[in-house]
Amino acid sequence: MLRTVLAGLRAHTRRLVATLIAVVLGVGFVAGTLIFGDTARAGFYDTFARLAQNVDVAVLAPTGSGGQPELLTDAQLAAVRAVPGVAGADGRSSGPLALLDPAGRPITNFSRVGVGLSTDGDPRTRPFDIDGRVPAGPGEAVLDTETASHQRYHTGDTVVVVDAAGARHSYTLVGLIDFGVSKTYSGSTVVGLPAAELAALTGVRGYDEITVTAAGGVAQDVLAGQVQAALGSGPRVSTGDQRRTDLADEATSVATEFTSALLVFGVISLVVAAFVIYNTFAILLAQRIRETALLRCLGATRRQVFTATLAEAALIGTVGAAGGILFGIGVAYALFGLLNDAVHANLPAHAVVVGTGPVLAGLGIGLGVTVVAALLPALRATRTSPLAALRELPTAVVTGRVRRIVRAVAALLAVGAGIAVTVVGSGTSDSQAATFTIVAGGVLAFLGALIAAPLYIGAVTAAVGRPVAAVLGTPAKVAVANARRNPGRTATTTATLMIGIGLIALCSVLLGSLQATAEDQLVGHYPVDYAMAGVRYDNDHQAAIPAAFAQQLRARPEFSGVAQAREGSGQLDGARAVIAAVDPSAYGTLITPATASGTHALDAGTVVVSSANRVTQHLRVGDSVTVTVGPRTQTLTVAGTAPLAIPGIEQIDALVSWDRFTDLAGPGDDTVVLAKAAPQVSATSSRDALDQVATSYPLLEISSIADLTSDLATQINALLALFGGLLGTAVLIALFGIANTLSLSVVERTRESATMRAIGLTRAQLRATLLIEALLMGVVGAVIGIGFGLVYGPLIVRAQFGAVGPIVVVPWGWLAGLVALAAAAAAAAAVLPARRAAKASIGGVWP
Amino acid sequence: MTSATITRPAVAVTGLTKVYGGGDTAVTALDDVSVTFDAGRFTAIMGPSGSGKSTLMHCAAGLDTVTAGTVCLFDAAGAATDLTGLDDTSLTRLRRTRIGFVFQQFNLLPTLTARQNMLLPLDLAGRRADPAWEATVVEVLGLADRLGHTPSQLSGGQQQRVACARAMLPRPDVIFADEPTGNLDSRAGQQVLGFLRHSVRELGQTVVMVTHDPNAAAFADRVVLLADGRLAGDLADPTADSVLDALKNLGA
Repeated sequence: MLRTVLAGLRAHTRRLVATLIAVVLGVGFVAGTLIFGDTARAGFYDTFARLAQNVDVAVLAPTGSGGQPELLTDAQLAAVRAVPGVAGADGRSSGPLALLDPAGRPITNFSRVGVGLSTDGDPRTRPFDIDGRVPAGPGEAVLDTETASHQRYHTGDTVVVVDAAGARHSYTLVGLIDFGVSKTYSGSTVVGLPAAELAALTGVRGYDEITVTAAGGVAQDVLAGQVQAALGSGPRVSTGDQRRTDLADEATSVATEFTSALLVFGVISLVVAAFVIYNTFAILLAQRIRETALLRCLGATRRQVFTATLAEAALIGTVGAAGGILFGIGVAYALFGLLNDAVHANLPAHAVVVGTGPVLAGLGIGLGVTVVAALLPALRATRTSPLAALRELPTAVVTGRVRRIVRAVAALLAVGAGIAVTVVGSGTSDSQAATFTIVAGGVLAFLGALIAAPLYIGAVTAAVGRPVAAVLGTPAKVAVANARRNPGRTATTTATLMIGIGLIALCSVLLGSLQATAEDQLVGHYPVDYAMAGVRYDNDHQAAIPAAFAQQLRARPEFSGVAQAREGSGQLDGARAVIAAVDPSAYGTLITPATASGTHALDAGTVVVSSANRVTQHLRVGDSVTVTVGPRTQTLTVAGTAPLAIPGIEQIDALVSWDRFTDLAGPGDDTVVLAKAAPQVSATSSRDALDQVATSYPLLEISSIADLTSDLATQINALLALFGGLLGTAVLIALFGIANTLSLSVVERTRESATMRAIGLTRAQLRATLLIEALLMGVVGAVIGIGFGLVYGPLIVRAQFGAVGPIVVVPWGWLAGLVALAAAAAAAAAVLPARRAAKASIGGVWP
Repeated sequence: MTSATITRPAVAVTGLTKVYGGGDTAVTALDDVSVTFDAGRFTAIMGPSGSGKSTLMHCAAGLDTVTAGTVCLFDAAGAATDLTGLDDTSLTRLRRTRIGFVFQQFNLLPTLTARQNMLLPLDLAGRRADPAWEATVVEVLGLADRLGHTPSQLSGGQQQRVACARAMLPRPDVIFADEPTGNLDSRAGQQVLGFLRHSVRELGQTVVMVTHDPNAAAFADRVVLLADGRLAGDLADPTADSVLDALKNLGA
C-alpha cells in the first residue's frame, strides 16, 4: 500500500506543491517565532549579565509602603563593609536628572527626564562599559552612548544638566558609557557623575543597590547569608549569580511577551494553512475517486484506503515541516529586523539559536496539522464504493437537504452563541474582561460564519459576479458559474482569505480609532498650537511652570492667546479623580469645552464634569458632588458635562473655576500653558518667540501640536505595517490556497476547457475565466472578512478604551484598497493555473 | 426531394498531410489527402481504427494544425477562407459561428442549463440567436420542456440533442460530428441521426460525421472511406450493406 502512496505522490508532485508551501509557511512562522524567542533570550542573557558583572553579593533596597523602593543608607553600606569576608562594597545611587539638548531644551522620554548615576566605586563592578574614563572631579561627567549619538555629543564636549531648582550646571564629557541592551535605562538619558555631585544635584541621599565583592576563597552564598544577618530583614540580599539570573529573566520577559504575541499570528497562519491542506486533500481525493474505487475493486479495505491517505498526508507534513524549520530560521532573522525597525524593540544582536525545542515543535505541528486536516477527506475516501470505478465521474456536487439543515443549525448555534457572548462582553464594565469576552464572542460568531459559508457563498459570489459579468461578458458568466459549482470548495478557499483580511481590517479599525482617540486626547478640541508642561521626575513629581512664564508669553505679539491650566489629583464623591482649572482670561474664549449638556460657564459653586470618563458618567446637570483637592473638600453643583481633554494633561475628570481651585489647592504654579500663534505669524517665528521666552525655564517641555500629531501618525502607521506584515503571512498562504484550488480545478475541467475552446472561447478568454473566478473568490473573502472587522473592531475599541470616550474610525479608503489588493492578489495567484489551462490542447475534448 | 443541380463546396481539403512527432518516432496520420465536402450534404467519414478519420476531421475543423496542405472553408456566397493560414485567435472566432461541433461525450458544461449551453457559441460571439430559428431548432429536437435543466438532469440522448442544438443555432457553414451516437443506446442514436439528416435535407445544413458504425453511415448522402491515412473509397447514397461491403474490401 505504501508503494501505491509513493507512486501517487510522485505522479501528482505538481499538484501538491502549493500544499507543501502552505505547510512550509505555516510551520515556518511558528518555528521562526520560537527560534526568535530563544535567540532573543540568549542575547538578553549575554548582555544582561553586564549589569552585575563581578558582583558576588547584591543588596537591593526594600520596597517601601508606597510601592517605591526605600533607599539604602550610608550606615547600611558601612555595616556591609564591616562584614568579614567582604573585600569591597559600593553603593549605587541614581536619581532623575534633566539633561539639556544642544538647543537648551530638556531631553525627555514620554515627558520624563533622564537619570543621573553615580560612577564611584570599584571599576570591576560597574554596571556599564566605558569608552574614556570616569569623572575624576567636579566639572566632569560621562554620558550614555545612545544619547550621545542622538544628540551628537562627543567626549570633550560640554553638556548642561538642570537641578530640581532649575539651575543649570555644565560638565565636560570625559567618557561615554554603554549599558548594552539594559531595559533599566532604555530611552532615557544617563549622565554619570561622582556620587557627591549627584547628591548635590538631585537631592538623592542613599543607594538603590549595594554591590559587594568577596575576599578570596569566600563563597557567594555564605557571604550573602552573613550580609543579610548584618542588615537584618528589609534589604533584599542575593548572590551575584542569582542577581544576574534575575536581571536576565526580567529582561527576557520582554522577549517572552514578544514571542507570545507573535505566536498568536503564527497560530492564525497555521489555521489558514490547515484550511488549504484540507481543501487540497478534499479535491485530490474527489479527483482520484476512480483510482480509489479501483483499489477497492482489487481488494483494498476501507482501513487500507484510510491509512494510505493519512500516510500521504504525514509524508507531506514531514517534508513541509522540515522546509518550514529552515524557513523559520530566515523568519527569525526577519523578525529581529521587523521589531527593531517598526517598534524600536532594541533587541540585542545574537547568532541565531536553533534549539531542539523549536525543531521538534515545528515537526510535530507540521505533521499534526497536515494529518488532522486530511482526516475528513480521508474518511470520505473510505466511503467510495468499488462500483464508482465503473461509473462516469460526477460533474456537479449536489449536497443533500439533511446535511444542509445540519450545517445551518450548527452555524446558527455558533453565531447565536457568539452574539450572546459578544453582547455580554459589551455590557461588562471592566475593560480587560470586556475585551476578552468580545473577542471570544467574535471567534465563535466567525466560526459560525465559516460553517455556514457553503450555504451563502454561492449567493454572495453571484451578487458580486453580476456586475462583473455585465461588463466582461461570457467568460465572467462562466467564471461565476464555476465558482458556484462546488460551494464547499469555494467556501473553504475564500475562508482562508476571510481570516487574514478580516484580521487586517480589524487591526486597521483598532489602530485608526486608537490614533483618533489619542489625537483627541493630545490635541483636545481647542485651537492651540503649542502646549508647555514641566518635565516629569517620576509618577508623582513634575516640574511646575512659574506663572511669570505665561505673563511673558502674553506680552509677545506672536501669540494671540495664552491659557494657563492647573491640575491636581483629588477625589470626586470619594473616587480618585483629576481636577483641573483654566485661568479666567482664557476660559470661555481660547478654552471652551463643547458641552454635552448644561453650560461650560463656571462660578464658585459649580463644576463641569467629563462626559466621556467612567468615573463621572453617572453625574447629571444639577447633581451635587463633593470635590477634594489636596486637604480640602467642598460640595459643588454640576453645571454641565463635556469632553474635557486638554493637551498636556492626560485625563481630566472635572473642571472647577480658577478661584475655586486656588481655594482648594492654594496658590501655585501652572501645570500646563497653552499658546495659540497669532494669525499671519509663521510656525518658525512663533516657535522662535516661544524658545526665546523659554530660555529662562529649562525644565519646560515644549510640544508643537502639529509635531505631536504627526509623530503619533508615524507610530500608528509603523504598528499597522507590523500587524499587516505579520498577518500578511496568513494572506499569502490563502493566496497559495487559491492558486492550488484553481490549478486542481483546471485539471478537473480539462475536457470542459477544451470544449469551450472548440466552440469558440479564445485562449485569452479561457485565461480570463480563471482570473475572474479567482478575483471573485478574493473579493468575496475580503468583503466578508472586512464586514466582520467592521462589526468587531468598534466593539473592541469601545470595550478597551471606554474610560476615555474613544472615537471609532473606519478607514474606508484603506479598506477599499484592501479589497482591491485581495482581488488583484487572487487574480495574480490564478495566473499560473490560467496559463496551464490555456496551454492545454483542444484535443482534450476527446476522451 | 430534388437533388441540387449545382453543388457548392463547404469544405475543401487539398494535399493534407499530418505527421505527429518527429525523427524515428514520426507517425504519418494523413498522407496527401484531398477531399471536398459539399454544402447541403450529409457526409460520413469511415475507416478502421488508426485510418486517420478523426485526424482528418480535426484538421478540417481547424482544431489541429496541419503539416502540409490547405483547408478551405466556404461561406454561403462561395468565398473561401484558408484555415491553415489563420492564427489561434482568428480560428477560435471563426469556430464560434461558422463551424458547429457534436462530440461523442456530448461535452456540455455542467454548470450551465440546456438553453445556456445551446446559446454559448453565440454568447461568445456577442450575437443573439434568431428567435424563429431557435424556436425551430428547439421544436425539431423536442427540447422545449428541458431548456432550464442542467446536463446532470438530462438523459444521454437529451444531452446529445442539446449538443446538436448548440452546433446548429449559429447556422454554421458546416457541422462536424465525431461519433455522435457512440455513447447512446440504439433508439437515442437513431433519433440523433434522424435529426442530423433532417437538418441537412429540410433545413439546409451541412454535416460531416466521423463514425465506425455502418448503420449510422447509412443515414448519410455520401461515405468517404479512409485507410492508413489515405483516401480509400467514396460511396454515394450508401446503405448499411454497401458500406459493410466497402469496409470488407478495405481489409482485403
